[in-house]
Parts: sequence; C-alpha cells; structure tokens
Amino acid sequence: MGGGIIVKISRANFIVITTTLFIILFLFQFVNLSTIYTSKATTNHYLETTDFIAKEQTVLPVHLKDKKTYSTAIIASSDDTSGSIASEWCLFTKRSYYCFDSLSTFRKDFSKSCNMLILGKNTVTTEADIFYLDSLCQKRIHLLFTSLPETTLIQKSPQLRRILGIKQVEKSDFKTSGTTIYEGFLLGGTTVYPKMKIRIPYFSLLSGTKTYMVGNIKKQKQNNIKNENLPPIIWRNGTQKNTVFCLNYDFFKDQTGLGLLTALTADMGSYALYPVVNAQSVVFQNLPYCANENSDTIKKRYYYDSKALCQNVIWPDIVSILEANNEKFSGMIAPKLDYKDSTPSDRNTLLFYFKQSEKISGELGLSGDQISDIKSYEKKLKLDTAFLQDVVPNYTFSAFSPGQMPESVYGAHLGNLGEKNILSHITTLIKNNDTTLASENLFYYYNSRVLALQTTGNGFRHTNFDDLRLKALETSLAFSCVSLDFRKVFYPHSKQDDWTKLSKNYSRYAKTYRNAFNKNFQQTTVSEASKKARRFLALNYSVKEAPDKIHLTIEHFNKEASFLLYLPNKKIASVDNASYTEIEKDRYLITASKDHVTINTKMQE
Amino acid sequence: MNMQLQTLFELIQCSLAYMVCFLLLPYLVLNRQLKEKSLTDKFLSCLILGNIYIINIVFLIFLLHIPGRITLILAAILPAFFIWKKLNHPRILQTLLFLYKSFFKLLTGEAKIRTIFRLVFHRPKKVLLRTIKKSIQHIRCHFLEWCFLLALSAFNIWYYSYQTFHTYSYGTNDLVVHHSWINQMLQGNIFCDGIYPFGFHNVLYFLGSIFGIPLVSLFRVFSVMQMLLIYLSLYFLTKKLCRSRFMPYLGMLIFTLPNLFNFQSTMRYQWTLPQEYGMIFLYPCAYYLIQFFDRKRAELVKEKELTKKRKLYTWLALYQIHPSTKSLVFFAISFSLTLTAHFYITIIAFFLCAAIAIAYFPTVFYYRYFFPILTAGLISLFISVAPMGAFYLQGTQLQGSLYWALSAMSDGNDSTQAADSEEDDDNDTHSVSDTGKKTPSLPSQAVLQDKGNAKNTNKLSLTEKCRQAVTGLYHRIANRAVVYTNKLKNANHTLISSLDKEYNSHTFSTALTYATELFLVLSFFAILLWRRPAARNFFAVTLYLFLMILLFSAEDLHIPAVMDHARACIFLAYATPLFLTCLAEAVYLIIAKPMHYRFYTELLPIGLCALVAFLTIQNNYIKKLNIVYSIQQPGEMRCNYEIMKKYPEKDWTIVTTTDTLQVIYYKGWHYELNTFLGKMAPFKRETVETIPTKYVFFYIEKKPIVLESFSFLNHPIANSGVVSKEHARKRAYYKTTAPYTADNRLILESKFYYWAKAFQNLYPQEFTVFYEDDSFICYRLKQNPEHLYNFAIDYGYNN
Repeated sequence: MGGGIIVKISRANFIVITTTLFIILFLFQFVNLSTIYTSKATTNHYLETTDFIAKEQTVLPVHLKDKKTYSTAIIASSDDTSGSIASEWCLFTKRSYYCFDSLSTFRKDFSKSCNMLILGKNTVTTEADIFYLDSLCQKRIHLLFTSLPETTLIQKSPQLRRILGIKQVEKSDFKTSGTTIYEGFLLGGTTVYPKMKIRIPYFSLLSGTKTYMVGNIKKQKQNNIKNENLPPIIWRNGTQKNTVFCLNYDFFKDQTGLGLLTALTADMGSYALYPVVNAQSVVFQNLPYCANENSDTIKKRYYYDSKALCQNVIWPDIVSILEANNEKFSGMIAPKLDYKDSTPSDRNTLLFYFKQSEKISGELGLSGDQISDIKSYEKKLKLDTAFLQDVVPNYTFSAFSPGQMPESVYGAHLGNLGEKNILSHITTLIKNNDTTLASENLFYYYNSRVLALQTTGNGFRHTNFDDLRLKALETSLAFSCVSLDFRKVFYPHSKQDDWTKLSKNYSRYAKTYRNAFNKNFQQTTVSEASKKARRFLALNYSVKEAPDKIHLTIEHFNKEASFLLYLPNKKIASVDNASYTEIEKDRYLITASKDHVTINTKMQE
Repeated sequence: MNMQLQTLFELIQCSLAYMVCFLLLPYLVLNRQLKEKSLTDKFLSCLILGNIYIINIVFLIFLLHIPGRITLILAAILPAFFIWKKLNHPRILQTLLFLYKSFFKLLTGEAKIRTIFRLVFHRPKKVLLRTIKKSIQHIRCHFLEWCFLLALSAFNIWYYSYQTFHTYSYGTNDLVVHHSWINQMLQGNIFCDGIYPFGFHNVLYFLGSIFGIPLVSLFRVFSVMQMLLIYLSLYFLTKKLCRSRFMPYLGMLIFTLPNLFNFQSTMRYQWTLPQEYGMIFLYPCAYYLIQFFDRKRAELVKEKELTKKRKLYTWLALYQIHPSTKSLVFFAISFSLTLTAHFYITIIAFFLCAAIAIAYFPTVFYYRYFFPILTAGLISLFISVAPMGAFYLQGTQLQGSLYWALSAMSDGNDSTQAADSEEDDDNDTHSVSDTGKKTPSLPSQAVLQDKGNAKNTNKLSLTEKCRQAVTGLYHRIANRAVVYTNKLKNANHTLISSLDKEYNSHTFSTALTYATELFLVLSFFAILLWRRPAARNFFAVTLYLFLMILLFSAEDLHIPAVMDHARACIFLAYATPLFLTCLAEAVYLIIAKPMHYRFYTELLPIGLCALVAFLTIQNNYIKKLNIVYSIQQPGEMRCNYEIMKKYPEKDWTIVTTTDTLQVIYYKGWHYELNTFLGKMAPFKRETVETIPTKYVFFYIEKKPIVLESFSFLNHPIANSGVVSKEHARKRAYYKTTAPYTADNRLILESKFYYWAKAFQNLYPQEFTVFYEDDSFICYRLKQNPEHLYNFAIDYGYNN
C-alpha cells in the first residue's frame, strides 16, 4: 500500500463526476418511478366502448340465403356437417346460397344464377342423379363433392367416373401410410403428414386432373410407384366446360372444410380475393392463477408451491416463448380452482399479474373453470366477482372463457348490463374446445353484444389433423385462436402434465407450426381478435376485374379490412388505398384503408 | 427488357469484350513495339496477334484437358503478363514497395491519403491526358477521314444489324451447327463432331467463357463486329495501295452504298459464321506481303549503299529484327489465321498471294525474297495445322465436311478432266460450226492452195517460193488470230453473262470485264516500262480480280470449279471495290502528278466519293435490305431470352421443334414436338406423357416457317400458311428424319395448336399464354413437379 499511486483530482472534476453520477441515478430511477405512477394496469385497454359492432350490423345468413338468386347451392342432409360448414363458408365469403336436402329438391328450385354446387354425403345415389349431374356439367356449373358417392356406384357408372375424372377403381378400400398436401393448395406449402393414416378408395385418375392431396404408400420407391399413381385424396377434374372438385375423405367433420372449400374454389379463376379476419391469438386458460392450492403435490414435482411455480417458472417461460414468437398474451384469470379448498386467492399475486401483463401488452379475462363439483360454479362466480371487484375495481372484464362451466350458469349474465356481475360487460366469449365444433360457426354472435370465438387448437398437443385444420383455417380466414389450459399443470394427472414437457410442446408448436402464420398475420389479444371478427362479419364486398387491375369495393367498411389475394399467374405491381404483403408465393395479404381498393397487377416473371 | 434494347446492350457488350481482348490487350502488351507505327499498323498488328494468341491459348487448354473459366483466364493473362514484363520492363517491385511504404506512412500519419493518391496516379493520369491530347490532335488532323469512316460504318452497322434488331432469330441453319460445337466446348469437348478449323469457335468460346456472354447473344450480334472488321481490312489494304488519303473511302463506299452486287454476295455478313470471320484476315495477308516487298527493297538498297560505304555493321546493329521480317511474320500469322478460321479463305488467300507474287516477278524468285517467303508460308501452315494435327494424333477424327471437301476436291479433279474433255468437244463443235457455215476455214484453204500448187513447185523461182511461203505464213497467222479472237470473244460473252449473276447491272458487269482485261494488259506493260511498286500492286489487284472472276465463272467457262457460285460471289464482290479503288487511284496518280500530289489534289478523290454517293442516292440505287433464312419466329427468340433470364436453370422444358435446341442447351430442357404429339397419336386412355419440370413452355408457330426458304428482311418470314383445323386433321409423320419440312411442319403445328386449346380448357389457370403475336404463341404451364400432369389427351386430331 505504501507504494500505491495516489491520484489527485481537481475540485472541479470531483463536482462534475458527482453530478454526473447523480444525474444517472436520477434518470434510471425516474424511469422506474414514472412507470409505477403512470401505470394503468388495472384498466382494460381492450374494452370496446366506441365503434362497437353489434349483431344487427353484420351480414347474417338471412341476408345471403335466397331461393331464387343463389349462386351456390348446398346439397346435404340435415345430419351432414358438410352442409353447415358449407353454409358457414358461404357466410364468411359473402356468397348468396341456399341449402337443399337432395338433388331432386335442388332440381325443382334450380336458379339460373347458380354457378356452383356443393354436394354432401350420399347425395348422388342413382343413375338419374348422375345423368342430372352430367347435364349440370354441360351448363357450366362447377361441382364440389365434399365426399364421393359410393365406390360401387363409381365402379358401375362410366358416366360418373368421367365426371369425377376417375380412370378406374384400383382398390375399393385402401389404408394410406400418411398423406401429402402439395404446394399451392393451402398456406404452408408442401406438407407430409406421416401419421394421417386414413382409409379411402384407391382410384387412378384421367388426364386433365390436378391433384392437391394424395395418400402415401409404404415402400413406394421399392415398388416403383410413381407419385402420379399415388391414391388421390383431393383433386380437380377439368372438363371442357366446368370444373369438378372431389374429396375422397370426409374432412368436413370440423372447420377444416372451411379452408378446403376456399382453397379449391380459389383455383377456379385466374385469381381469388376474399375477406379474412387476420388475427392470431393465444388464450391462456386458467392463467394467471392466484391461489396456492394443491401445493403438496406441486412441491413434490417442482420443489415450489403452486404460487411460486406460477410466478417464478411458468410466467418467465411463457413470456420468453411469447416474445420469441411475437405472440400476444390473453390470460384467463383463475382466482381459485378448488372452491372447496379454504385457501384464499392472493390479492398481491393478482396485482402482480396485472402489472406483468401490462408490460407485455397482454389482456386479462376471466376463466370459468374450477375442479370442484358442478354446484360450485355458481359459488365461483359470486366469489370471483367479490374478489376481483375488491382488488381491481376499475378493471372491466371484456373476455370470458367458460371452459367447463355449463352455459346455464353464465349464459344469462353475459352482456346483461343491468346486472352487477363480473360477466355483465363481457363482449368476447371464448368457446374453449379441443377441436372446433362443426355444429357451431367458428365465430358467431352469442347474443346481440357478445361474440363467441371458438378456439382452433390446443397449444399443448398438435396432431397431423390439427395441423391440417390450422392450415385450412389460416388459408380461409387467416385466423387462429390457440388455447392452453393450465388447470392440468396445477392439478396434474400424469407425467404428461408436467410443465417441463408442456412448455416444450407449446414452444415447439409455436416455433414450428405457427411461426409462418405469426409472421404474416397480425398478432392479437382475444378482444382485438373479436373486434376484427366483428368487422369481418359486418363487411360485404364486390370484386371487378379489368385488364391488369382488380377493383375491390367494400360495403360497411370500418377503419380497416383484410383480404387474401391468390394470384397464381401475375404479381402485384401496386395497390391503391391499401397496403399489401406477399405472405407466400402467389398469395398476398391486402389490408384496405379505404372502402375502394384498386390492385394493379403485372405478368409474373 | 425490350428486345431491341437488349440487342443493343448485347451488341455493345460483345463489341467491347472483343475490343478489350483482341485489340486492347495486345496493344498494352506490345505498347513499346508499336509506338512508332501508324494507326493502321497498330490496329492490324493487335488484331492479328490478339487472334493468334487467344485462339492458340484455347487450343492449348483443350490439349492439356483443362478447359474451364479459371484456367482460361490464367492461360490468357499469365503469358501476356510475362511478355509484357519482358518487353516493357515495368518496375513492379519498386511500385509494390512504394505502395507498401505509402500504406505504412498513411497508418503512421506521415502522409495524407491525398498525397499518396497523387503519387500513385501521377503516371496513369499523365498517360491518360497525353492519350486524350493525342487523340484530339489526331482527330483534328483527320477530321474529314473520320467523318467518312464513321458515316460508312454507321450505315453498315444499320444495314447488317437490321436482321438482328428486327427478327432477333438466327438467320441461317449453319449457325445452329456452330452453336452446338461451341456448346460442346463449354462442356469441355472440343472437336465434338471431328476436326475442323476452330479458330472462330475458339474466339466465341473465349468471349463466352471469360465474360459470361450467352452464346445465343454472341451468335446474334457478333456478326456486326465481324462485318466492321471485314470492311476495315478492305479499307486498310486500299489505304496501303493508295497514295491519296481519301481514295480508300471510295472502295468502302462502293462496297457499302450502291446496289451493285447480288444479295448473295453480302448476305452472309449478317451472320456470325467462320468463313466471314476468316475474311478479316484475307486482306491483311496482302497488306503484309506488299509491305514485305516494300521494306525488303528499301533494306536492300540501304544495305547496298552502306556496304559501299563499309558501314554495314552499323546498319545491322540498328535492328534486332528487320522490319521486313516483321512484315513477313505478320503475313505468316494472317495466312495461318485464314486457315484456322476456314479453308475457303485460305484458297482465296492463296490466289491473292499468287497474284502478288506474279506481279513481283522476277523479284520474288531472288533468294533474299524467295526463301523468307517460303519459310513464312511453311511456318504459317505449321501454326494453323499443328493444333489440329495434335488432336488428330490424340485420336480425334476429321469432321464430315472435311471429308466432303476432300472428296469434292477429288471430284473437282474428275470434273476438271471432264471439263477438259468437254472443252475439247467444244472446240470440235466450234470447228464443225465453222465448216457448217460452208465458209471454208482459212487453214484448209491454205492447205488446198498448197496442194494445188505442189505440182508446180519445182518450176517456181526462189523469189516466188519465198513470196508464197511468206503469204502462207501470213494466212496461217491471220487464220489463227481469227480463231483465237473468236474464242476470246466467246469467252468474254460467257464471262459477262456469268457476271450478270453477280452484279445487278449488265453495263457494270460488261464494263468490269473489259476493264479488268484491259488494265491487266496495261498494268503488265506498266510494270515492264516502269517497274514501279504502284504498277505491280495495280497489276496484282487486277490479276486477283481476274482470278476471282474466273473462279466465279469457272462452271460457265467449263474450267475446274474450286468452289460453288454462292461462295465465290462473296469473294468476287469483296475484290471488286479493291480493283475499282486502285483504278481510280491510277487515274488520280496520272492527273495529280503535274500538281505534285499537293493537298488540294485530294479534292479529286473527295469529289469522286461525293459524286458516287450523290448519284447512288439521286438514282435511288442504294443497297436494298438483304434476305434472311429465318429458322425461328421473332417471338420464339424473345421467349427464349425471357425464359433463360427469368426462370431458374434446368427448372423448365420447352416443347418445340429442334430449331431452339442449341439456344437453350444446358440452361433448360428441350422436348421435341414430333415426339410429344407422336406419343398421343392415336389417343389411348392408358397413355401417360409427363415432363418432369416445374415449368413447361410450348412454342407454337401459328404461321409455320418454311426452312431453307428465304424472305427479304422487310417482308414477313417465309411461312407455309396458317395453322388450321383442316391441316390438323391431316396425317402427320412423327418418325420421319425431317419432320419439320414444309407440309409436315404445318400439320404438326396445327395439331399442336389445337392440342394447346384443348389442354387450356382442362387447365385454364395453370396453362396460360406466355407470349403471343400474329405468327407465334407460347404457352406456359406451371405444374407441381412432385405430381405431374398427363399431357396425353384426346384433343380431337390425334391421328
């Protein structure tokens, strides 16, 4: 020490250094303090107060269904889900349509403006039907078979085979070892589904057909089978006058059919322009979780109690995954899950999540789930109302995800402004199903105020069929609403419910399957998605084509509207009154900023 | 890009590339050696050395089996660099050291970057400024000459590039063959079809490889550069032969503007072909041979003079290589280049050199002339034949056309004999016809008289005998003279009628025939009288033209024909302006002599040029646009360009006739039309016809071309009609050896057209029109390469 160097600084320098340090300290602290004092975490930014689109302002099936002027005829029996899916598709694409239960009834009410016929299961059964279909082909009416007639009938009738573009029936029943979708059909390009093993009749096709989806065959190379000879699943047969689309498997069990209809009909003209929702959202069911229940079990698994696990493990994981995939957070709060347990919901925990959610621009709604008996749902609503109004009295909940809660419990409260219930101001109802229900529309008005959105997939589990549905819905509506249910994390039943596994599954799902769509379409919270869906339901549009131009006119335009343009042989030169992005080869997302859009096109290089 | 703009860009690109490699590079290497030389000498030296160097570099890398872009660049640059270093002694090490030091000075802050830049670029800046100054000075002194040259060149560029700019397609079938050979070279396979003079191919291969210029572009536009060089070599030779500064322009003007020659004489200049490329080196042979005689004469005079003064060693020390030897080297190289490019040019070069040799008789046989020329000749043969010989020894066979040429030559010998015998017969016929007229021929009259008087011979006195003998001799000579005069007259008539095929004016061909003969005699006498080089040169040129006339009229004159009419007419046309210029120059020399060839005497050639130009324009006698044997529709070439430019390599196939095959070779795939249609004729349900690429283009000629049939450039391309159902119904021949000839082509294209219409109904979105005009349509099909479309359909005309 004795030999140390003594550095002398002048008084002036000392003052400058000290001042600088104080300024730095102040600036850093100022940021924190200002954040705390200006925080509006307990206010719902996503609550719609103005420009609220009610059911009456939207295009409803009543407006489109017309027995005399329909352009699309749907032939399906009442128990055939393809009929409801086709009707929903017509509603979303704003087509005038009419539903018939058989070809004979359609024949009676045939409209001259009809240019497309969607045929459901078992609608073609007799020679007379086939003969009539042939006459429709001559009238330049496009046919779309959501599932093919009986194989025996196809085998018997050369006329039907010619209509369908089938050369011959190779095998009446064949199990594929997977399926392949080819590029240019659905968004996402060529995809092989090795686990989509389906049983279909094996046909060989005539020239003049275009195949969109085929079944794979084991040892294809060894058996020297060409790709062109693989069992076709979805194809198009071009005749000299019309186009016939055939689906050799029933994809109309759920909303997958929506996307297939869009993708197939897009291939009918030189371009296709249709409205989309343009919203990608993720619903975290039962997160945030504000109680410390089931802690013994949780501690055994994670060495944390439930509250700590949620705050210190799950929340950071979720934030990092969301950030990595540019997704937005929509959390459905579960103040408690076990309403028989006396452990109270933690006030500070709730406030913590409100603050954290604000930081990542997330939205918080309410979950309807609990694990006790069915009688506890009523109790849950009461307790939650009391707890939430006590902790966050200024926060008006606009999103509600009932989960397992029976409709009878929450139905009456939704949108009932006269009532002092936590559900009174709800505008978005999340119908949390593992798979979308074909019986219900993907989104529809629950009542005049509340829009119900069906979730489109489970973020913890993604099968080949789920992926097909995801791609189909993105192609058709640019919409997805993924649900992640955290109830099983806090009340696990098996090793599969371990968060380490579930977080990996979710991360893989987001990165692998949704990433392309996340990049191209807009990330939203559920309320934002709801707002977009309302605009989508409200608008109507007309398209006119001129040389190197496409004119789009939008009725009931509200601030913005999104459209998908499929333009296979040209490319966009410029767009007036809208912005556009190329989301994939030949596909563009058009975001209109005015009610009249002109798309200038040029020849593709 | 607009096709015409694209063509212009390619033209500039090709011309610049050629000039850099074949003119600028040799000039930079031989900068010091060329310093004192005239611009003409510099230009010709660079052109010839550049060509011989690069052609042999290409041969070398193929002989070593190392073809490739990098090896080619190294092989071209490294020897040139070492030669440059050897000849110019550049201070490379010092320069590098200076740069190194400067860099460190810059880092240490001892010098500013501006100072270093100033030092580094001081010399280049000086050289550049000096060059600009010299160029301006040169142009100022020769302004009118440059104006003449540029005007004539501009007209020629317009005239000969008209086809390239308007039809875009290949003008003749030959191009396809040469294109395929160079395509093979790009794949590392020289002489793919056998040994052939590959000089021209090497040049195009070099340009294509080094600069990445597509061969199709080179074949379309290189002809313009080639044509300019052909015209320039005519200009340079006339410049060498003329004393007047402006007389050479007369030759160029005659060859450029008036509609004197048959279209066949100049049509090939529109196309990039080896024979035309070889023509560039034809007149330089004469140029350097004449230069050799001039220089050698001057050297011998000087040598004699200094030997007398006993200062010979002083004189010898002046030169490392005698200027005459240099001329002879350039002559040898030029001659070898003719042989490297095309055999026909060598034949003509031989005639030209022979004419010069005869003109310089007997000087040419002096040992100081004869042996160097002989050595040069042998060396030139060796230079050109050696690479081909090396490949032959490696086992490559001769190309078919060479066998054909050899057999033709042997046939020619046979025909010579036949011609001789025919000539004899003709002679007999003539005599018969003479007697036939019942006018006894003079010799027989003399014989009769001789017989009648034989009895009285003994009785006659010596004086009488002498008188009779003289009279007899006189009659005999007169008789012979009449016979030969008649023969000459007949030959002249034959020549004139033959030349009528070459020249568009009968008067001109008559005048030219007589003028050639007259001036051949006059210049011969001029040589005897004056022995001046000018007279010898004039005689050589006249003799050369005369030989060209004989070559052209050989068949009509029943003498052995070395080459066919179509080829000979090109060389005759090329020789004509040379002769006319020399003729005008001779007149100028005589008229301007009293005025001592002062500058104002130049008004005479200027006036003559102006008069020729004026009369040509006044009488609307300007050369008409030439003909073209199109093998593709303009739209087809346009599509080829578009596809090659915009679609990924090997990701597309074109279904068409074979005319486009070489153009797209190695870029994409080609599927032949007759195979395509043949597979679905007749239609069977089980027929599967697929093409495994993402994009498939279908070229359909709505007005099918008639191959081997020409059309004038301002007229539509020769076609066999319009595609129709009637033709589609007819039976087509799919497996014939020539499926695309007139009728079958029309039938095939008609079927193809209706196939496309039917297929478009099935795939309206995927099968779209890519390009369409009045005579051509191109469809594009986009398919999934993993699941291909079956093209075999029943389109209604599958027979």
